Parts: sequence; structure tokens; C-alpha cells
Amino acid sequence: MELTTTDQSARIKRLVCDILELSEDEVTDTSRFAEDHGADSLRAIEILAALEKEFRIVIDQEEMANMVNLRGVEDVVVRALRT
Amino acid sequence: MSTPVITAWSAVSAFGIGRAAFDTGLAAPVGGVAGNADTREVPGFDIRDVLGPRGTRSMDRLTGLTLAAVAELVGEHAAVAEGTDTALVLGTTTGSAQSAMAFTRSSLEAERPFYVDPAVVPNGVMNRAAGQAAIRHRLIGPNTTIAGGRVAALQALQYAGRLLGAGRAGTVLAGGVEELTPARLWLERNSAQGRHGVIGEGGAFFAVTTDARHALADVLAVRSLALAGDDQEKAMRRCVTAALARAGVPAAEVWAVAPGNSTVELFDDAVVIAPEDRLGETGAASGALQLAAVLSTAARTPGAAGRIAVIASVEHGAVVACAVLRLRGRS
Amino acid sequence: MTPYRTTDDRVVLTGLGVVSNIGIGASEFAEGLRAGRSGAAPITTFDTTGFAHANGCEVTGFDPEAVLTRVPVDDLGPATRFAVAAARMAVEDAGLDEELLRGRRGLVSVGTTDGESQDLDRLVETDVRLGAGHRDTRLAERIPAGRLSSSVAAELGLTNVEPVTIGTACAAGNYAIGHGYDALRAGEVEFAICGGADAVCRKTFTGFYRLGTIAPDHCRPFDRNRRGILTGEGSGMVVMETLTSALDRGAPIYAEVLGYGLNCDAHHPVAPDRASVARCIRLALDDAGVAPAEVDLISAHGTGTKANDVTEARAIHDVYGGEPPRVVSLKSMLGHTMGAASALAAIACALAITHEFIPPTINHVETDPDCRIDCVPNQSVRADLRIVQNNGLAFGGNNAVLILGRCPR
Repeated sequence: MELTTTDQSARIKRLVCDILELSEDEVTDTSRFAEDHGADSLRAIEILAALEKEFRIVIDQEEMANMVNLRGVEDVVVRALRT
Repeated sequence: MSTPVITAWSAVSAFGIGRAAFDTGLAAPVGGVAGNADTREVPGFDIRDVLGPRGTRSMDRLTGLTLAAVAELVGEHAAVAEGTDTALVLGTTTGSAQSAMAFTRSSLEAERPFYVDPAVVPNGVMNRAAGQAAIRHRLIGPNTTIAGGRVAALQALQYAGRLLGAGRAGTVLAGGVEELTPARLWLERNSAQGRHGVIGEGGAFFAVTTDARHALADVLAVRSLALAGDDQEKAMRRCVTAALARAGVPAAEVWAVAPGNSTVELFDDAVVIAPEDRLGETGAASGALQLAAVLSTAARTPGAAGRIAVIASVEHGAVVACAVLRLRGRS
Repeated sequence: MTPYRTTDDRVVLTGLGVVSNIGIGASEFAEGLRAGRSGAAPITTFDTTGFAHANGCEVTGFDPEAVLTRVPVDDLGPATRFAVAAARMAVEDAGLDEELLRGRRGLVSVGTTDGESQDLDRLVETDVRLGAGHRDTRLAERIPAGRLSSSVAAELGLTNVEPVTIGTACAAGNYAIGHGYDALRAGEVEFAICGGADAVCRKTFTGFYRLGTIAPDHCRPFDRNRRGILTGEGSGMVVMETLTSALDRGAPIYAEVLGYGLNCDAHHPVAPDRASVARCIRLALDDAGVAPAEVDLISAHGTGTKANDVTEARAIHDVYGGEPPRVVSLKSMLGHTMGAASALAAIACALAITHEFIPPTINHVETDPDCRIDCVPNQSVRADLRIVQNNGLAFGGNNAVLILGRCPR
């Protein structure tokens, strides 16, 4: 697993919780957006779009499959920041 | 086919949210409306306060007003919800111009043109409000958005009659909604029909069925006609004459008329019902709020039962429309 | 079997008007369909700088000045120009005399997704480029979407018609045709001019792009490697009348409207719902009095997105069992023309019935095994078509399915 900075992690978590309409203590690194938090495909795209804007990156659509929980999202952001 | 009837209604306007607020506001002699000198708005309409926090994060005002009006109607008339043959027909001008323009603006101003919010993409499409109302109340029948500006609500009522006549729905929730936003205000102020006067917002919905048991009014006829270069007053005269003929009612029998922004000359002695004097020009909601005002007035007027009312509206330079109703009065 | 109907109860298509990105006018359009022509090219309507890819299916070679005779072109937004031109073509194609039409009671219904959003985009572009206060105020009168239908009446000089614009997004064309069918069968009108129109705009392209549903190059419906839609534009309008009326005046008949179905998923704002789509197909077949086994061809909504095509194919299998008829997507050629899509597709169905061919699904490489349909890849085929189904599915879960049939000669 790639490491993100604490600041990045906090920004990602805040952004995800805002979109999923959850408080930050309801979401863990491994709780799943779809299965555990009822997110649908549009919510997943919202997360992708918000990350792109927040970190000024472009995330490949194929990465959606990996963005199932916070840990997955952090990995995707790190990969996108490198390219 | 049997005549469509209106069995329940709701309204959201500068008088407030719900039928009771509308009745009270309309019955009061003056005032009682929110807004600035040249605008009227639904007082204190905060989407989250009215509709709750869930599912409202990205909701625009047009959808919020629509959902509020439909929820009030479903509350008035619980039997309409969850029915497989309940349809929804919404009159609009062009959906939320504000949402469409804000989305384009966000694209043009972003560092990259696709750094936009996907959650608001559907807000920029005209059928957004009708679709959201269907989701909220599980209305799986026909779901139609009619874009006609000031004649949209009457056209929605006409379309509702056709759905019932063809057996495509058992109950139709039909109405019209308009939002007051900077985009709407600019469009109004730069067109002939909205250049002057007070601009308002709101909406009203009606449960329309062919089951006459709880009827508040029979919808005897609804007509709309293209102007196609014809004189507006002449066209309205033709439209009203045709509707009265269809209803089988002589002009002399008309008790009340809600002329809206039109000139209807045929009824010298009729009671004039003009909610727009208080609520402002409400675009696609206008015909619906006029109809609500007629029903509200009839309900508090002894002897209104059995009498005829005409509701008329004009989309300037384009279309005239009218409806002829027989009031059932207090049930 | 079809319940007995009198010729007054039967509704037929007698005139077709087309403004499309693969041909203008019904005969050019038919040639384009038969040849499997593609409307795809880089978008020119707006500046696409910053998007990784921006193909679309725009109309080229369309001169509204050459078609419109009454209404000044500048008074109309781009989508309305398409609608008005297509309506005029449809009336001419039907061999109807305008003077005669003026005396008759009619309906004009035009479906649209975006109305004049291209004009709204222009207002915003002005704001961003020049700041507030520089907008072209003349656009205000042409933006209300009601203009799409009222301008058709104005151009044709029809004062005894009811103009209705139906904004049910990408199912709007079928909604509009269905409305004409009901009005004619109820005996409320003597003719109906119905269809749909939309113009390519930044707002809608950007929306679909952000949702990850714009294909990088071409639209490949039902293909294993499909990547999405291309936004398109145009208008399809039809003249409808009762069979009695058509026979009386010896009009050419392209097809009969056998029935249609409408419903709403009431489930999700953008994701289609398999069971609800299947229910809509059944509603349409029941309305038409047609059994699934009688249907010879399905013109699918077939957007070419991952979600739509598999959901739609499964819904078709739910209704048709193991062996559905051939299922084609015109969006492979035309792109997604939004409110015009199901109207242009209905016209394509009518032309397919008349000229005895099935238009192909182009850009096809390998059918998605999850779809399990014969999409008539890349080459049109000859076919004797009696009954054709035309699907229109939209954002908001607005579904509309139309059933057309060959009218016995």
C-alpha cells in the first residue's frame, strides 16, 4: 500500500463523508462505500470527481473498481498524483 | 369517456406551504406575502428544513418546490401514492435555467472543464423535478414534463385528461411549478411578458381522476391554441368559445373567471379571481395557482356548488389556453 | 392478436421529416441508415479545449434559411430550427396542403431533453468572457422550451392546433408521438405533427463526460468494449392521421402506430432499472395487442454505455425469453440525439418497414456476452418487417416504448 500524508488522508475522508452524508466516525479505512454505506454508482462518480478537483488530478475511469473504501481511494489518489 | 374530476389539491406560494396557508392568504384582504418590491417568494423556503436532510444535498429550488407541493398533495390524498397507475404531469417553462447555467458556468470557470459536480448533472435536465417526485413517492405510472411557460399548467391538466381517457393512468397528479432565481428573473425581465410587474414563484398540484366520489370540480374542457401570428385577444376568444362549446356551457352561465395575464372579454358579470395580483407572475405555476385560487374561493363561497369557472392563460406571442370547470363546492 | 379497430381508431404515419447528422430529409436519412453511415466527428459547436476527447454527432449542411418561409430564423434557438424544419419537411412529405391543414384541428407535440440549452450556454459564456451585463437579450424570447412546438405552428401558419412541448429527456420523442396517437384516437384532433428535437450543447456534453459516459472515439452499442455515448443533435418529426383520413386522401402510409407504453422507474435519477424497463415493454405490447413472438425487430435505446445496454438487453430477454428478435441501436450511427433520439428512431423504423431492411449497429467488433443479442453488426440486411418495437429510456426513469406495424396495403 502507498502512503498518503496525514493531511491528504484527512482531506479525502472529509470529502467522502460529505458526499456519502455520513459523519467521520461512521467511516473506517476499510468500511465499504456500497455494501456498508449504501452508496450507488452516482455517489462513486461524485467521489471520483471531487478527488480530481481537490487534488487537481485526473483519475482513470478504470480505477472506479478500486475505490471501494477509504484505503482504496487513498491508493488511487497516490497513483494519480504520481502521473 | 367519463369527465375527469379534481379530487384534491395543494399549493406552495408566497402565501406559504400547503393548502391551508393558501386558503388563509387568499382570503385575507391584503398583504401576507413574502418578497421584495418586484418579486414574491415562498416564505422561508429552505429545502433542508422543508424536505429533510436526506437526498437534498444537491437539490435545486425547482425540484424542492415541486417535491413540497407533491408531498402536500399526497398528504391530502393518501390513496394516490404507491399506486401502479398513478401518473405525474409537471408543467414547466424550461426546467431550472438556474441549474443549467450554473453547471455550464462551473465548467467554464474550472481549472479543467470537467471539474464539475456530477451530482448536479440531472438538475440541468428538464424532467429532473418530475423524476424526483416519482422517486420520492414511488409513482411508477407515466411521468411527463410539459414545457409551456404560462400555459404549461393548463396543458398539463389537458394532458392528464388524455392519459385518463386512454386508460394509461387511474390517477394523475398534475400541476405546474416555477422557481424564482437570478436566471429566471433575467429571462423574465428580457421578454415581453415579464418585463414589467412583480415576478413570483411557487406551484400547485391537483389529483385528477375519473372517480367522481370525492370530486371538488369537474374538468369539463381544456383547450390550448397556437397564436401563429394571430391576435392574442382574438385567439383567446376562439379558445374560450371552443372550450365552452365542448363543455356544453353558455358563456352567460360562467360564475367566475381567473383570467391570469390574459384578456377574456366574454364574461361581464363573472367574479374575477386574480391570485397573481398578490403572488406575482409565476410562469409555469400561474395556471395552477389560478386553478387553486378558484377552488379555494369556491370552497368558502356559499352557493358556488354547481357553478362554472373559467381559467385562462397566455404564453405571450405563442399559445393561449383555458379550462372550463364545474365546481362541486364544499363536500 | 390485434383487437379489432375501425379505420377511425387506427393511426398511421404519412409524412416524415428529418434533420440528422447522417442525412437531411427522409430519403437521405434512409440511404444513410442503409449504408451504416456515421455522424461522428470532432465537436465544433463549442470550444472543447481541456477535454481529453470530444467527438460528437453534429448536423452539417443544414440551412434553415432555405427551409423556413414564415418565421425569422434569428427568432428561433438552434433546437427549434431543427424542429421547425423537420416539421415542414414532414408536412411536405405527407403531401398535405398547408391551406387545408389550417382549417383542421391538430396537435403539434415536440419532445426535447435540453430545449434551448445551447442558448443558455451562450449567455453563460458571455458572462464569463465579458462580465455581467453583456448578454444578448434577444435570446430571452427564444429560450422557453415551449417555443419548440409553438414555432412549428407559427412557421406553418396553424392557428387551430394545440402546441405542446414534452420535456421527458431522452424518451421525449416517443412520448410526443404517443401523445399524438392518443389525441387522434380520442377524436380530438384530425392530424398530429409529432417528434423531437435537440441541439448539441456544452452543458450536456460536460455532464455526460463527467459521468464517465462519453466514448473516446465512437459509440459501440452492445459491444464488449463499449465506452459510452457521443452527444448528437437533430430532429425527427412525423405527420400522423387516422387510417380513414389517409385512405380518403390517398396518402402514402409508412407505418401504423399500434400502441405505446409509458412508465417511470421511480428508482434512481440516472441508472436504468431492468424490471421497470421490462414492464414498460409489456405495457406497450399490451396496448398494441401484440404478442412478443410477433415482433420482428427492436430498435433499442442502446446508448452504448455499460449500464444501459446490459440493463436494456436483460429487460428485453425478460419479456422475450431466450430468443428475442434482432435488436439494433441507431445511436451507433447518430450518436445520442437526446429528445430527438426516439423520434428519429421511430422514423428509422418506419423507413425500415417501408423499404424492407434493418439498419445496422455500426462500429461493432464483439458482442458483449452479457447482452446476448443479434445487433445486426455493421451491415444492414434485407428483411420483411411487420411489427417493430422502438425503445426510449431516459434520465429520471422516464421510459416510453412505441410499437409500429406495417399497414396492410
